[in-house]
Amino acid sequence: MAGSAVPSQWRSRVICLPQTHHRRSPTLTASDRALTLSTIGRMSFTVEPDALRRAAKQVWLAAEGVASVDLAGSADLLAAALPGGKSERTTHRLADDWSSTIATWSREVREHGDKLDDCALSYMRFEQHVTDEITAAGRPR
Amino acid sequence: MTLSFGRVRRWRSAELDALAHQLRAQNAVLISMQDELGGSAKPEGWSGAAAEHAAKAHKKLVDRLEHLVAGLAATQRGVEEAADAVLGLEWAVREAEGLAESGGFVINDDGELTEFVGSFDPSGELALLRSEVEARVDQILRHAEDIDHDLSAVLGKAADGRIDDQDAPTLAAAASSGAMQGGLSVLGPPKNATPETSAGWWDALSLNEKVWALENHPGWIGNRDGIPANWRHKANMSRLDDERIKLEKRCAELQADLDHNWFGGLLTNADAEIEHVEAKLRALHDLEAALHGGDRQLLLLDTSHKDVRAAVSVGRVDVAGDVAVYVPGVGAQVDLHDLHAMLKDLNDLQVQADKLNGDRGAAVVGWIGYDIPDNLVDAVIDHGDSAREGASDLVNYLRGFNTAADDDPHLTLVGHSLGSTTAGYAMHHSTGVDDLIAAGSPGLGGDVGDLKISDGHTYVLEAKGDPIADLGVFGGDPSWFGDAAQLSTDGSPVGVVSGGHSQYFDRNTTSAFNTAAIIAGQPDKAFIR
Repeated sequence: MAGSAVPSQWRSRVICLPQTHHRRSPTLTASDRALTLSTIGRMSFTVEPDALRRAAKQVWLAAEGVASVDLAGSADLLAAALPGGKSERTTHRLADDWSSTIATWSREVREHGDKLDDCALSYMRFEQHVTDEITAAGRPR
Repeated sequence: MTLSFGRVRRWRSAELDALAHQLRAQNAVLISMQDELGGSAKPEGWSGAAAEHAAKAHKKLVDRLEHLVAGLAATQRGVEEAADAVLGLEWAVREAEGLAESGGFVINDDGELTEFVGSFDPSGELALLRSEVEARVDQILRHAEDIDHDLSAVLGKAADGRIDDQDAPTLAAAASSGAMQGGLSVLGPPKNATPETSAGWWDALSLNEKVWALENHPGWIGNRDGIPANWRHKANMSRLDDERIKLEKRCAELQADLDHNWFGGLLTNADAEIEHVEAKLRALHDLEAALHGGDRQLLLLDTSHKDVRAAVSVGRVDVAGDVAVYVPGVGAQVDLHDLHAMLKDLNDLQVQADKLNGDRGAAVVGWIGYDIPDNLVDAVIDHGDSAREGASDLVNYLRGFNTAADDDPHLTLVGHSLGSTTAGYAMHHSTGVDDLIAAGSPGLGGDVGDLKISDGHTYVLEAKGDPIADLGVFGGDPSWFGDAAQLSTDGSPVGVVSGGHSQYFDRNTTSAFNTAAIIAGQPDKAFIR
């Protein structure tokens, strides 16, 4: 019977297959397997791995774009334009803040993009694993 | 640490302006990340616990960028407004340096003046100029401190993350919120101001700041000696309605007070005050009517004293090369009759002076700027105190002309009757006045030699049959002073004789022509007795 082909606790509402080629052949890691056995059964989720990878790319672009803005350099110019006052000193503080904010933000955004990309990969591995399992179950021993 | 003049004169508006543009472009790059970040906030088709965690993490990152964008927008606006304000400072620095140089001084980096040419200064002009330069340097530094203080506050808030993006839904909205928090204040006028400090304050404001002050605080400008005439006029014209509303409101309050009092005005001064307030309202009405008569400027409007005080010019003071200030005698008031009579005479003098001085342009100001006694007896009884008090205001008014003008105008002070006494008292101080004319004068408050004016620049008009001009009750009869030139009041090829106390400035009289010739800086054309 078609309805009993997949165990009910594994059934997601939709699991979309990747629409582009994988970067590498997905293989199930130990942690993926753990996810499969202990967690997935309690979840309901949908995913389109390609959309995740597109999002990751956009996030990386944002990180790159923001990192390219040299705000600290502008702050230094400001200090030079108004010598002798409180603004000059405050500007140095602002330059430090901007510099670290942009560096930190860009790094964290890159990492966020990496995570999205990793997620896409994990979902694809999981799908491949389940497909392999099901295919194997249907074969004569 | 306070700012030094040497540092401030290195401030450059153009650098700040370029930087403001750079910051704006940089913020545009950050704001353009909206597409990438918006598109990646919730990847299509992704739901579940992981998707929710990712969305939260994404939102936190976007919030932080919005905060940065808001701070950057505030900084950009602060720098932009600082660039504008520094433009005013640069102008003020050049003005102060030019003024110092004209008097043989140089302004050091610590703001002190060094005299590089020793000079003889009998009229006190150089001392006045020196004090003006010092006042301007003070105001430049005050303004620079204000710009620095405001900008530093904005930068500090941006550095501390205290520029609020107000939960803006987009990066562009965050920038708008931030920009609202980056504005700099416009510096108000100095306390206990003199014409020199006021001129220094005004000169250091940029055009945008001046327009803002005019629109939002005309009271800073209208009666402030040291501010250019065209700005004073605009400010006072915009104050007319406010003053009227204020007086009408006071009138209504007093009337309500009377209406609720069973004894009417018997136990209150409200009825007397109503009369005064109503008189002031009439004065405002008459003043407004008088201003419609041609090229006139309202250069003083003060309703805070017993009588309304006003100064009206015929001709534009700010562009005239020859300016005269006329001080009327006893009984002069801001009312239809007196204004009409005074402005008619001043109009004739202005037209005549304008003809005589080529293309320099002339303007004559009628100054009713103090509580003028109703008659000469009152003035004698108070021993000239009213004239002396008026003189102290007149001194500032006169000094304001020279300090406000880009080019020092030729300034003539014309006093009639007790007005000449007020003028004489004023001339015991440095005023910048080049020529003094006393008409029908009961005295100048002392000897001509005591007046701070160059030799040969004091003139007296005394008509036949003018008893006031012979009284000499305020420091002697000026016509007896050898130092004062006696202008003719007789008939001549240029005019008819004037007689009595009140015809000195009548049209087609020799005395009016002579007055116009002095105003026009053409004393050789005047008829000397």
